[in-house]
Amino acid sequence: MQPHPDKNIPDNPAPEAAPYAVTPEIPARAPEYGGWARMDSDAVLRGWARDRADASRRLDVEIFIDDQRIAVLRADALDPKLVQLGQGDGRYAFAFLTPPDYRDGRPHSFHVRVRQAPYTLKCKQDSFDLPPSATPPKLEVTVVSFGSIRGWLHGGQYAKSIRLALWADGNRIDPDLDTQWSGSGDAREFLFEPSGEILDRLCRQSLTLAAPGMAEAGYPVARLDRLSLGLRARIDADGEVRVRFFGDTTAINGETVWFRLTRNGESQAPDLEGAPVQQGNAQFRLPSGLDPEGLEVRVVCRGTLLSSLWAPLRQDCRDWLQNPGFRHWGPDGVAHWNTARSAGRGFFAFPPAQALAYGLTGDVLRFDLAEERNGDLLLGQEFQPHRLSAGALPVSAMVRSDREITLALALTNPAGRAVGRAEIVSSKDWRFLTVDIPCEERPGEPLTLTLCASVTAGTVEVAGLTIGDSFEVYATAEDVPQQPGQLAVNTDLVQWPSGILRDNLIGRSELARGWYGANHRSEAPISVRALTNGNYEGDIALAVAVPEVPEYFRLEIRLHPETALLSRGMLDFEIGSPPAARRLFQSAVAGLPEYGEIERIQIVRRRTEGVVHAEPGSDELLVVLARRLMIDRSYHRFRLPFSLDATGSQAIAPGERPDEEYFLVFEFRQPCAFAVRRLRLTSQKDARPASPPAFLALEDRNIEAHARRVRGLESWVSTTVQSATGEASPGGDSGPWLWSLAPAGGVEVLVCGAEAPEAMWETLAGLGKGSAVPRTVRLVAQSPDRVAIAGLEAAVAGQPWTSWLSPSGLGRVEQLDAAIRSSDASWVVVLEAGDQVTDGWLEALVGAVGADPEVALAGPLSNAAFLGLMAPDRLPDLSLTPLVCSPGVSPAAMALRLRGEACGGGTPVPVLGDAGLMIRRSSYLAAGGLNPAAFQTSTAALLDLAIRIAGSGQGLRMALDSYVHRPPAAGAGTPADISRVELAKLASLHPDCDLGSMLQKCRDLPALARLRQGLPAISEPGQGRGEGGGQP
Amino acid sequence: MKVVFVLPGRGGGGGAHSVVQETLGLRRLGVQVQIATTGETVEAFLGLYPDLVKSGVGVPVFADGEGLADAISGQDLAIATTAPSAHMLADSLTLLAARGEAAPATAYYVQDYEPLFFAPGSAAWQTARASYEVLPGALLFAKTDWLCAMVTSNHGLPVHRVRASVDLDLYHPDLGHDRSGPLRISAMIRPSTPRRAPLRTARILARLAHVHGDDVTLTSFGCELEELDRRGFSLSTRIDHRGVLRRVEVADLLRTTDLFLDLSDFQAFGRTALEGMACGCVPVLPLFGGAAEFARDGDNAFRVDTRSDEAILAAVAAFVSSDRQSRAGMRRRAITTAMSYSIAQSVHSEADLFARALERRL
Repeated sequence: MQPHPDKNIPDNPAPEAAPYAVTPEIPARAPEYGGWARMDSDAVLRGWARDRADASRRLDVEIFIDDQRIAVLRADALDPKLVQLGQGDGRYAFAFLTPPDYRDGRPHSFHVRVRQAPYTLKCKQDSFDLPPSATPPKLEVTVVSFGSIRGWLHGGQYAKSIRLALWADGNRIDPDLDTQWSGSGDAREFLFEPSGEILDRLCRQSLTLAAPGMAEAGYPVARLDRLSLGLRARIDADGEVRVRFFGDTTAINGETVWFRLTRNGESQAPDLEGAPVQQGNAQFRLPSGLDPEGLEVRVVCRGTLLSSLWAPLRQDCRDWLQNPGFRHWGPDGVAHWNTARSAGRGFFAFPPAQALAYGLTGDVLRFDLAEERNGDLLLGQEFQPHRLSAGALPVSAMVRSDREITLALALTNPAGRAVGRAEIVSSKDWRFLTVDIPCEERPGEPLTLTLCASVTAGTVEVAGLTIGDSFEVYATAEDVPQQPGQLAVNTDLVQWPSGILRDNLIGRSELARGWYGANHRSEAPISVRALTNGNYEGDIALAVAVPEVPEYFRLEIRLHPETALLSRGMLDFEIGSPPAARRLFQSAVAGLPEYGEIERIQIVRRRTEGVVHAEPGSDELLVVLARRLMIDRSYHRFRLPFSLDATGSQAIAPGERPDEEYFLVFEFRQPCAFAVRRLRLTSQKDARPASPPAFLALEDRNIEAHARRVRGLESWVSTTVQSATGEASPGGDSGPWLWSLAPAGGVEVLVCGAEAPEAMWETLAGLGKGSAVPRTVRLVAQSPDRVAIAGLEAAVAGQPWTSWLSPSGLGRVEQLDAAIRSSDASWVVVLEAGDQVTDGWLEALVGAVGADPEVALAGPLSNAAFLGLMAPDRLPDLSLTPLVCSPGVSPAAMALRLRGEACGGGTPVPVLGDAGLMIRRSSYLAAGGLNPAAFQTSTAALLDLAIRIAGSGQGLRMALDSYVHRPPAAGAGTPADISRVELAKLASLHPDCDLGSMLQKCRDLPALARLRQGLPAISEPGQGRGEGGGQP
Repeated sequence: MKVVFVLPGRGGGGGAHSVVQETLGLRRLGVQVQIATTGETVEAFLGLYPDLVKSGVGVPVFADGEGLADAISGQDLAIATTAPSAHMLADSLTLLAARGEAAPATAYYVQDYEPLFFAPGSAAWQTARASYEVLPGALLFAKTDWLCAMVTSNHGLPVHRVRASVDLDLYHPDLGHDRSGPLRISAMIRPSTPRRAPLRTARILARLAHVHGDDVTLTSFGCELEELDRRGFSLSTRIDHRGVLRRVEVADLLRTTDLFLDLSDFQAFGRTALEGMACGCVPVLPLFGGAAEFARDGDNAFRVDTRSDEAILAAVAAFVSSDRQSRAGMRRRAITTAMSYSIAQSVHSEADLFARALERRL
């Protein structure tokens, strides 16, 4: 078994690379290791390891099964028996749950070694044999609160009592949770009280919970979502400090917390015990003599300061219009309010940060202004401001309107006399506006606030209104950062208008800003609303219910016009038919099928010139991303890659007014109730997922792993659907690209030399079909022939993955150096115009470098042959001529012959030439790049680079199953171009390096020797398999 | 010619069925043939294949290398049938050499590319991968071009083709079966074998229930319901799950089935599908692997990229939406194809291969 992919187990263990932060330790005296390991019948490998010379030292142990290291654990769990046995403080134990791959009923050898030393723990067993039928363990967390964390452990493992461990960011942070257990067998309930440190972390980040060895063995662990808690504190005139928690208050309700008063971070008094938190509220009395000005209120729980929970202590504030909650909606409208006209109820999905900052729940008041009405919107209750700052009363409002509208805020006293007035200007975007209203009255006098509009037509929405300074002034809605590269900017649906609870939308309607619903040939109403998870953590979904679909219903999402829709992209989204969406069906719920189906998902282009809302029939279909995706009650995530041809690409400069729009379209053919969320459309540069699209995958992961290392299975991991008619060409995957083969950071192929356009064409044609690895291609111009360059430029203009670099005034080596330096890929491959790649050439190169961070260069097999062709009078003849095309043999046939003989993977070599050289850019930059001052030819310059990189201890690999043919006349990079002068230069620059000897070593590599011997004996492809090979 | 197949295990799988029925066929041709199996499984094995002893096929039992050496001693040809059996056979040859006894010629009936069963790099994988090379000079033979190509291209060894077989006495059509009414679709779900894609199969059946409604009836088999529950499978209530079926029950089900779904990641051969064709049902088979041996897409079967739900559903939709005559035509061609895979033809090709190999050895 390979090490678990989720585990970062370095091949060369280094303290900083350990799964835990390991500080180099210097024991007081020579270490004296000891410990035992055993495989228990409950499939848990248990044991302990310690250094008797240093009782406080904790060791890491490495688990080996079948001589493969599969996990590294810190042996620091408490085992009371060790204490009884006199083994220090007893915190030397470890446990590891056997991964499922080894529970196959077959014997597997195992041993456990101390990582810090070559010491193998004692063990009476040398192998284990576990049945495959054991139910895998599963942790389920049911309650997360300040008081306790509860849940269930399913599965029959861990027959013994155990303690759970918490993990954060892949590191174990607490190996010894004091866990109480009840029940037995396959389902046991656990409970533990989180410490203050755990609570502090949990308020800042999500954690994971695992039984011993579960995470290390790759079993799914339980997630503890971050507690999203906020805090506000104010002091009233009576000296009582009232603290209001918001967010996940159920987690803290009932808990007694302490408060620390600080000023500029310095504690000002002993911690104060608050009453138990009830419904998110707590209070305490400010110590006498302590000036409240500038104080901060912080929360302490179980002796630990919760670093994320604090708020400035506010004074004299009164939330008057309460949207924290808008809980005042009564049957007749907004409670405690007088609305001068009927107010509609709406909803706006504020982004989480904004919602938290202002305490907004999303409920909004909506006023439709009409000409015949007066401009008063809201009449506030009488209130008594406790403090007027410099004779003014601060008032804040979160408002927006369908156009720019001036809103007046007026204060009147009980006699009806106006005592203060100010104006704010609302706009189309939500804005948090504050204004100080000069006020003639004294503090304590009752006042009334009126909000009125100065116009008589339009729509005004109010999401919050406050008097005093209880709200901080944060960034306005315009400042909400939007991630670049997103096409559908409604990732969190932050741009929705209010009123997202509408039941009677007919025909083509705008459901949200830029989101449209179109029920073709139907007058049946559709319903739409926003769904949140209650705490505004970004999971805001658009739910749509369409009870009647005579032809088709389309959800259309307009793509942002100012972002480039490039040729390749990825659509990510989650969709399901949750109960909240199904409830929109109302009486028709019973008639809704259990499963829904998206007929297809596509991107269309629609001309907008003179057309307000074109009929869908006028759409130009650009690409279909998927067809017939099934949805059920749960949300399912989909990742759909797509590619567009050149005519489909959109690139609108900022500010330019496009005359056509692009829509992402979800089409349904049956009645449906669905909710979509986390929609993200990215293009080109960001579209590098780590795994193939989920909807096109082998089910058996073992086979998937084989498909990348066993010959004959290449097409099994193709990202395009294979057909029975097309299966004869396993290497001919003309689909978009093979995501998973791309190394992290991507690959760019540099094709140098435009002296011979014909040769360049030949190379480009081969690149177009020789590999399924995603890569960009850049042509590096070196020709002064402007006609040739213009022709190539015109040709690559329509090739979205091909770009052009034509630095002027640079020599050949300088140009190549500039090209490599300016690439934004992690790997570059250098080709010369005229080089002919063969099927699978790049896959093999990528496979040769693998995931080994020590490999800096890789070359195809033909690279060796290329070295071998160097002039024999100057360098040794490597006798590698069998490895290059003989006259009459095509490169493709040659590649097939070689591949039939060579093994995959990378063979370490002492040196590499420049033919098809693959370079890790970070290593290139660290090595200082090419040396244009010393070398005129890229062949010599790259050879110099290879020698330097090899000398630095980094790895060079040869992919014996990769073949790139370089015809003798190709480009300027033929071996003969290495002149005596350059050879002499190489020798002078590397006096300790004998190039001839390196090449000799290359020749004598067993793999190459075997190839040379085996090659002549290989028959041409297509010839018989030998006796008895015919059809019966 | 004295031949012994080395077949440890309880039997019941497609590979064991092949060996047993071809052994019986070889016996009918007059070959002195035996199946050597392990003592701990012989009872179950003979219970499953009672005809062996009645037909004069010897079943020597071995417990270890010595026992197997005894079993193959004096034989002309000893044939491994699985990766573990290849290693067992290699060990017994060593023991025979130590005893100074003549060793029989060896062969390996490659019935699957077994490294694919295991995690790459694991001990089991190493064993499976080494099995093709552990018998130097052995005659390797297989029943599909795909298997031959896999071993040749990955191990550089020649593999000879033999003809596959179907037990046509058991798997035959019922031409009188009334095929009016909804189309009957059946599939095997075996959660313990990921390469057979149980999740995909359950998912596709659920979608077929949704998409085709009452136009189809759906049946599954291959494991007990409890196993499905235990592994978290939730089958649609529209699916009639029959549990673990005996061979005769499988044949009965296939005879009344119109479309059989084998949605595995790959099939080295696809025995159940071919047996289904013999029973008169049209199979949907994975594109990957060796099923091209007998399945022609759109003619007597559907061969689809089973990684794609869309491709599978399209194939089923094509069958469901085609007219009765077209479906009958496919069915007839499926039966005709399967009928050519008689045991007699298969064992003749094997016997011929064995004889030539032994002649060369002499």
